[in-house]
Amino acid sequence: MVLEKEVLPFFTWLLRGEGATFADGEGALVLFAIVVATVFVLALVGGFLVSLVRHGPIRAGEIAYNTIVGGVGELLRTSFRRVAALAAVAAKESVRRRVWVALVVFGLILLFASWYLKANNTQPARLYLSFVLTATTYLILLLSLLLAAFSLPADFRTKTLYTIVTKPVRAGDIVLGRMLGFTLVGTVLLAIMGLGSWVFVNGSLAHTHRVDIESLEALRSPDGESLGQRGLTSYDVYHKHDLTIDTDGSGVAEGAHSHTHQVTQNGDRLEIGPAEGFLRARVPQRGKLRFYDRKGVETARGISVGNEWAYRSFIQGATQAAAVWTFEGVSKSSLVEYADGGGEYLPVELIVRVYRSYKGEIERGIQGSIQLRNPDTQVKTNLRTFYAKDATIDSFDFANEQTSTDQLPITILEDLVTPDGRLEVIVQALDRNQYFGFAQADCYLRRPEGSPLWNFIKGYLSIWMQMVIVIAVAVTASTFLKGPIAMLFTVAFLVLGLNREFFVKIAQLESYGGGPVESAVRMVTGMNQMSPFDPSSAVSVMKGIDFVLAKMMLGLSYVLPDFSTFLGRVNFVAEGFSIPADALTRDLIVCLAYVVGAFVIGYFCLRAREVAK
Amino acid sequence: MPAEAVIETRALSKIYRDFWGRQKVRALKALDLEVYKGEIFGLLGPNGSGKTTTIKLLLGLLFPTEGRALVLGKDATDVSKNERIGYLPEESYLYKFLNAEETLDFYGRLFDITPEVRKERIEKLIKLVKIERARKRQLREYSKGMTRRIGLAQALINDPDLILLDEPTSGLDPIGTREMKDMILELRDQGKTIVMCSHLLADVQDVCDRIAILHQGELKELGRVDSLLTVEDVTQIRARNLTDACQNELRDVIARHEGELLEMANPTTTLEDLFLSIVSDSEARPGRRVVGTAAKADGG
Amino acid sequence: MNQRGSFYRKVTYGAIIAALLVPLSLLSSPATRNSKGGVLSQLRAEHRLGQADLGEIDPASETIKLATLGLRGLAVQLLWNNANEYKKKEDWTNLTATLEQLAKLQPNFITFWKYQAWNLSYNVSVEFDDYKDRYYWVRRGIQFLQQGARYNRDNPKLLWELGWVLGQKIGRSDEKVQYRRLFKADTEYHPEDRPPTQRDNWLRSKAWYEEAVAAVDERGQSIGKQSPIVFYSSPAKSQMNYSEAIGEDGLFQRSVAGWRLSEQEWKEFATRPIEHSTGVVLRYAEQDEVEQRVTELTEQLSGMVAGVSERIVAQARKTLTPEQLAALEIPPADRDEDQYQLSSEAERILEVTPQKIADQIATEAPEKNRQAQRLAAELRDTERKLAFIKAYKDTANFDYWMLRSQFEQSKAAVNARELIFRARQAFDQRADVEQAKQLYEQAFARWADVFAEFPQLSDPDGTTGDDVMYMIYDYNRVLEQLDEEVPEDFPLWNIIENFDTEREFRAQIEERRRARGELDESAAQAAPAESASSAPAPSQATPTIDTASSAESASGETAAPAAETPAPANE
Repeated sequence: MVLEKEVLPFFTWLLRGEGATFADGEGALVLFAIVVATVFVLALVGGFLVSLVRHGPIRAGEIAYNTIVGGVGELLRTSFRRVAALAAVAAKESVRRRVWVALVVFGLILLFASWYLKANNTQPARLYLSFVLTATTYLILLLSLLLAAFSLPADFRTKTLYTIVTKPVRAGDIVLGRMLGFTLVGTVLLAIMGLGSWVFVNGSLAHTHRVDIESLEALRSPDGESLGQRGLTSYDVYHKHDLTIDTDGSGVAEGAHSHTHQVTQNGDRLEIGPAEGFLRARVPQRGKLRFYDRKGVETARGISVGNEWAYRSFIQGATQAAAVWTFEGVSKSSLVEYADGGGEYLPVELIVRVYRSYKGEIERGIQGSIQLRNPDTQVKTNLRTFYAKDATIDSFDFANEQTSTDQLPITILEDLVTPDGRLEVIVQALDRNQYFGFAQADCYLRRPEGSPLWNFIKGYLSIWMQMVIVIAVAVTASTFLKGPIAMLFTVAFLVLGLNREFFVKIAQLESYGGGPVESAVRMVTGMNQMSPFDPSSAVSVMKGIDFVLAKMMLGLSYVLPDFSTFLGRVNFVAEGFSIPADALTRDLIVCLAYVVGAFVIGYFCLRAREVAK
Repeated sequence: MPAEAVIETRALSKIYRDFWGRQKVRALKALDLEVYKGEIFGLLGPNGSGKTTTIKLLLGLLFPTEGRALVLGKDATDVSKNERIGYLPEESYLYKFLNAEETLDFYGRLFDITPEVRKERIEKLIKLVKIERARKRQLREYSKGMTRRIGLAQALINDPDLILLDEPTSGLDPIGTREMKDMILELRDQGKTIVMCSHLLADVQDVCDRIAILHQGELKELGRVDSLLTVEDVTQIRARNLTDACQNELRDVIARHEGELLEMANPTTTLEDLFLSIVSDSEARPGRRVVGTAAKADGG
Repeated sequence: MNQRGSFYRKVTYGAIIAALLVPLSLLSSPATRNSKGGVLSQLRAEHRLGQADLGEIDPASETIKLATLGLRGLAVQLLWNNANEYKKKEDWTNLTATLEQLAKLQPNFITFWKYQAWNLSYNVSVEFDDYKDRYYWVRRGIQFLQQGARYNRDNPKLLWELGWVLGQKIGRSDEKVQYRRLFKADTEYHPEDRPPTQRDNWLRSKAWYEEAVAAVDERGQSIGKQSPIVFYSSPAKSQMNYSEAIGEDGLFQRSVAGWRLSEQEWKEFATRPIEHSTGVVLRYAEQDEVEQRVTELTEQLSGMVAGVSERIVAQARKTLTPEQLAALEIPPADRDEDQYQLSSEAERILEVTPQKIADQIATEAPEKNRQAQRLAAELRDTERKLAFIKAYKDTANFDYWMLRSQFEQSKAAVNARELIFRARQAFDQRADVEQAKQLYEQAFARWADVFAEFPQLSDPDGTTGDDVMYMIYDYNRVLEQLDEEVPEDFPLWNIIENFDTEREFRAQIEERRRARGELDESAAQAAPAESASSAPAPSQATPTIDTASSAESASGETAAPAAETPAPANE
């Protein structure tokens, strides 16, 4: 799969992020602390100034002190029973407001999906999974948004809040209670949708074929012995498979649309079983990639062959150019037993992207070679050649017993893996003037596969986390805004979060068309993105304003969650890769941070508000 | 015996401002008030005099522009004082989709009352306000009287020391009014302090110990009802079984002492008493009532 | 009083509404099986404005168009952005899914179908390394176009595009051998009732072209901005491509039959009226007739007064400057640039145009003026028409293809091709070098016969010279295996000299020239300049119009001036 940003191990992300050490200040913890401190200082200063104007300096100081001390004190005295009571009422209110309509809409979407989703794709599982997950995400986010943004303002309007506020209920209880109540309702809905989706995906992908009797032909060994048969299946659901059948009548149908069927002999008929292998959860052990250029000099990236998308870089065939992955933590547990018990092997999987600078032999693939190497002692295995399968996952099983380039017998565990568990995989292209393209995620060691169902659930967990963040933000917004405005605020938050990358790009003034004011001017006057402005004082003013705005946007971007990362987890599920535990814990921590932050802000906002105004 | 001040306001003012900070309405001007423990205190005044504003300020639903309000020794905006307070608003500000039991249970949980105690209190209160027959019905189906009663029940769920009632008898029929007044008196007898604001003067007169009269945000009069309403120079005598001769004699006594006899006649009972007696009679003996059969007031 | 007033008002309004309902129902009643419907419905049918007139009605499409709640433009914009992103990130699954959604949202936007089908067949297909995958995507693009054609019935652009992709992409790409083979065996694409001989990409291409032509001819569609020559000649050209391709597969009987049909269809094409850009309607087949008319009119005009043309020339000659006269004297091949310019000026002055004759007659015999002017005008128009016909014939390379259809049917040509085929087989499949060499020699002998029978074939405007050159290259490779060179008595040296764009025979050509005493410095220098031109592929009618001069040199002049074969700018 395409993994544009590496998933850092959890503690690395927490403590040092992309930087080299903790002191570099790019770890998540440090950034969080900075954000909290900044918001705290800003709120404090802002509140102080406001009360300064209203009440004079002494009183303002008093108010500030009381607010902080009283606030912290009250926050800590949040009672579970009160929160639970308020959450239960919030949940009941949601049911009264007919949230289950969302399930009906979801059902309709699934029912009519077949009108718009055709299975004539080479990867139907991917299509169905990403459809179902995306539809669920949008539906549940919309739903939770509407629920959460309108609830508290409705209480203000109908004054039911008076009765609550005149009980010993802290503002924090109210905010947290609502968040919990809606989260509960959302979780139940999400669980039902998840179940429905799982059934839908499995049902839509289920199919079988018949054997095309006329296509069967016998396979014989050179001695004339019968080795079995091969043939084709019938053409169903826009594809057919190649059949390979043993002498005992069992076999496999494969070679199309990323799945296989088992073939069994039933009496005198050959039967093809149900589709298998559509839903998978590969667990890859990833490494770090570096390249050797044509002359064998180490570089960070290979050459570019002119793609706009710079995800992959290329190595030239029949030169010293190579792609090298270094894996850590390789040990006996990385090896797998052969099915027939004859030793162990290291499963390496590789995705090659082929670029031909001339077509050459059209019916023949491009050859490459792969070998293992010890990073310290430089001992290498013999070259193993292969024909590159463009853009599909190819498997290489390296038996534990190998031969080195000096023709000596070596083993992977003892000779090729360093004492601290490192191993290198080297891939080269062999045909002149043809190129192989690689990105870091294109080679990995295959670990035992996870359960597709659990992976699916993890995907739904990431949707759940998005929902929780949206609810938290919506409830907080509704503490000081009217219903529709709170909804718009949260929608803006969501949209910015989904396009955070683009937002940051503008904030760094790196995108085409300049900052906000400049873009507006270009749009209104009909200039295109690239044409320069004639220098004048108006243009300088415009750029100055843009500079200030961009700085503000940059500040704001620290507070925006990166929703596209959450959505990216959906890709894992769709492509059949297990969502790594590091990613999951990281998402959970981020989600928690947002909930806590929203809670605190919501508390102070609600407390400062006159309920009976 | 210096009574404890349950509520104390010092120069309490509230000015409603519009968005730009300009003054719109001076709802309350420097109110100084004290309410002592165990009394029934009435806030009187025409509409717009600041009664409801005072109550909201005391509850912490509004923040004072100037001055302070202290309730049970704590600042009015301190949420913890709400532990010992009950509030019955004029309209029902309760969740319409809950039924009576759920409502009381919900508010009980907000007081951190343990489940057993909660259950007990809910039973007691439902019986007290007489809504047993409607305990499982959602609040949206209640009549005005029933809504007021469940409102009172939730105000009492925590057995409060101070109860604030906003127009408790407005909109109720005579029976409901009587029951409400009886309940208020009983609560006072249990040692609770009650503050009520109303513009129904007769009800206030019946129930309150002390009153304050507000007009345009200013305190105009404050004092004990009886002392305020006592007419100093007139003596009222009520006696039973007086013959005509006795009445004449009394007239002479008054004349002799140079007093002025204002009135000697049969007093009237209140319409309320008549009404109530007819209703209770009717409940005891259903059927048409025969008019004219010695419907003498029982008096007292 | 007020109540009654309001009541009367309500009654009045109600009556007006009811009254309006009557004409409304007449206007907008829908067309049903038994009736043509109201006025609006009839207008719709007449002007072909209804959705059903556009093509297939698809409930899914209608639903999703409604579901966008008026924001269809925005949804489409977002989806196009997504499609471009997916293509950039090589995410083919999502790309095709997005295209399907777009197809539902804007089914009647023709450019969408053309663009995305081209995207699939040409851009996405090349991203795959395995040729079978590439074929799959080429076919997907074709099927996409077919879907578009169903939504937009009788749209000539889409139908023509289908013919184009089926023909060009499958039949002319680098992988044409593989693609044609896969296409023949493609049971998923062809309907079951199509006979195997019809499962050829060129024949399918021709079928779609014919549909496109029928849409314009019979169903009143418009060609739009496309060139009518290209449009109308496409079916016949596909037939020719088929004949050629099937011959290369070794099925010579079918090939001959195919060429016969091509000749017939090409002749039919010649009779088709084509509108020139100036509005004049031409037919290729008229050329002879028009030429005759020109000759007639010229005779008539100059014959009105005896010797009028000579007098005009003599007068004009008097106005020439001495330099121009001198330039005229020098033979054309030896003129330098200045002299060339002078001489062409002089020739222009000396030219006898119909208008000049008419004017001369006007001065000499004024009573015949009106008739002369009339004749001159007619002659001018006819000459212009002739010029147009010739130019348009050039555009379609009409004469060459006529010749080609004819000569390919000749025994000599069939024989020659068969021999070449067997020679190739001998070399490629059996590595039998000796046999291959013999077969090649026999073949080239037959080719010499062909060139003798049809001398115009060596014209550089046609493709036969290049085709034969490729055969000679292959022959050369066979000879290299035997360490031999092309012999002196090789019958097709003139072909080599004129068509060796790969410069494989440079040394030998120079030697031959030297032997003939023709070699000079300028030719040797000029030669490398145009070797940069790509090897002219055997292409269809290229719209680049060559200068009029090359059209005249169609005679089988093998001794072309120096080494300057005017290399036509092909693809």
